[in-house]
Amino acid sequence: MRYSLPLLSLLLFLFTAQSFAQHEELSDFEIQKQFKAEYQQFQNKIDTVALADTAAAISDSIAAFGQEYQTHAELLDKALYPETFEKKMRELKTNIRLAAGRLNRMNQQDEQVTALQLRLIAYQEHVANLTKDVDSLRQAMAKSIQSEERLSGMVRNYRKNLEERDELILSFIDSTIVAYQKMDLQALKDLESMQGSQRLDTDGDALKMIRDISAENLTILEENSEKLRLDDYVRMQSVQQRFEEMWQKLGDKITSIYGGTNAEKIQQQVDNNVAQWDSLLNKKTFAALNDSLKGEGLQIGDFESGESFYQSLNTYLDEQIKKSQDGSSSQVYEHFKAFNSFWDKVERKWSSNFQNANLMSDEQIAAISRKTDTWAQDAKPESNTTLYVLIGVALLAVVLGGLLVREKTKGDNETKEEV
Amino acid sequence: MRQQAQILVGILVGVSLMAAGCKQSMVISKVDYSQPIESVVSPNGEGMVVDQRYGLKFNILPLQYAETQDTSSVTTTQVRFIRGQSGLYYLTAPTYQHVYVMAPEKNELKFEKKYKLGQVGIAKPAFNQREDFIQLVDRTTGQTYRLTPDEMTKEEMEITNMEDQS
Repeated sequence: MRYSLPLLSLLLFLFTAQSFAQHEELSDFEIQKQFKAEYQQFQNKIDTVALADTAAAISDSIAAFGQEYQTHAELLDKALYPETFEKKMRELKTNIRLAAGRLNRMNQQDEQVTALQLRLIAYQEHVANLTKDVDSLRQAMAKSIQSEERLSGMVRNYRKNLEERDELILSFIDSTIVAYQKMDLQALKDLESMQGSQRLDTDGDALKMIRDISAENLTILEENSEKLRLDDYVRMQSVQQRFEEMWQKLGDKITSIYGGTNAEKIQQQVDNNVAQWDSLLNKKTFAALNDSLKGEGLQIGDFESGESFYQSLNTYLDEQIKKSQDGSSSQVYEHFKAFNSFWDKVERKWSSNFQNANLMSDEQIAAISRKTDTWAQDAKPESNTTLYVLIGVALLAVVLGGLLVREKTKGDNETKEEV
Repeated sequence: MRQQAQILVGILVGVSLMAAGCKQSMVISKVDYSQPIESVVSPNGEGMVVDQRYGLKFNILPLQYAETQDTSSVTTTQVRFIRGQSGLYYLTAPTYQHVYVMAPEKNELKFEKKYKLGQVGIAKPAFNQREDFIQLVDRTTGQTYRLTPDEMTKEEMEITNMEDQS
């Protein structure tokens, strides 16, 4: 113990002396060679860094590295010519800052993807439950054909469930658009290649869910159309249009992010589903519109597209306006009231759906509204009451006038007799 | 006649002056040839040393012969050299017993002088360019030498100073 302290001091001294001697041994050539080697090591680390924490540690090491070689800056300027020590260090610091920023962005992406995953799973469960409810109701309806009252209640429930399901799908579309538009595809791919994971290939995958939603909606249209009303179809048009827009805008990105191996096949399925959904829904919507108008007794020409629907309405209104101007009747007036009621619903309730679904443009709706107003001016058959009132007033005026003349004549005669 | 003689004299004077002017060579003085960092190059199988950075190419075998009296194969694994302020090259190699001072000439390096490094030479030599001299370093021991075209002097080791202070 007596000798331990001096021995330790001696060892410490020898170590220090040796370290100093080693430092002195470095020639200029070795210094610049070592600097270049260490620089390259840092560059390699920056190129392969995968964690934000590691990037921060490398950044600190680079700062220390710069300080260590600062005393040799002049020598290194010569060795690195035409570059300089300061420039090389600046490059290194910039590179690690960019790498750290990239990793931070990737972390954010990771969090976004995780949140999206959770949301997708929740949506998927919710949509699945509603679809199950819809199926149960459909089966129950099939069994309860005998009881009209019960059947009517079930159809109401069925349509309500479909409406809820559509709202949920719209919410899913909004959520998907927000999530995927923000997503940096390259950063996400980098993250996945670094982590070597197929994290998106899960039950909550958006691409599969989009395929399922499009397929289910197509099935609903194909199999349950007799339970649906014009209101349902118009609402479904909005959902379909929003869905199709989302798919056109983000389909490629969602497919790229998909972690499974059959991405292209699923994408093709979605493309087909969306196209069929659009075509079938248009057909059903126009058929329902036709039925609805004919049900009101309105003889509007058949139509199968937005443009022909507009043309048919235009032709019908032109005819009716002409008829009304030539002389309206109570029958024409009844037609007007039916059409006005239908058009009032279009204006108040469906105008945005019609526009969103490209059934009619804003200008076309305005044009039909103007013609409906014009028709309103002449639609009501002229009444005889006014004429009767006028004749009555005229007769009364004649009677009163006669009485007044008579009274005056009588007064004049009495005055003459007194004189 | 006299006028012709005057013209002839004038021409002769002009020609003489032009001839004198052509003889004068232009000299740029105070040129600093110093190479900031030594070159460390391994000779190829024929002993050729090629320094890409400073554009110098020569054969090491004459120096190897001076050191070992053998040129049957290239035994020098590494050549280290640096050019001083005055333009002279200082060359050595691991375990060489000398530092050679060579002057660049047209297509040749001409031997100027050599400095003795002892019987076993230096296992890990290195040159540093310093302000007005070349520093030779024994990287194993840290011993340094000051080289100029005129002389080589041993520098005091800083470690010795430390020992003295302690």
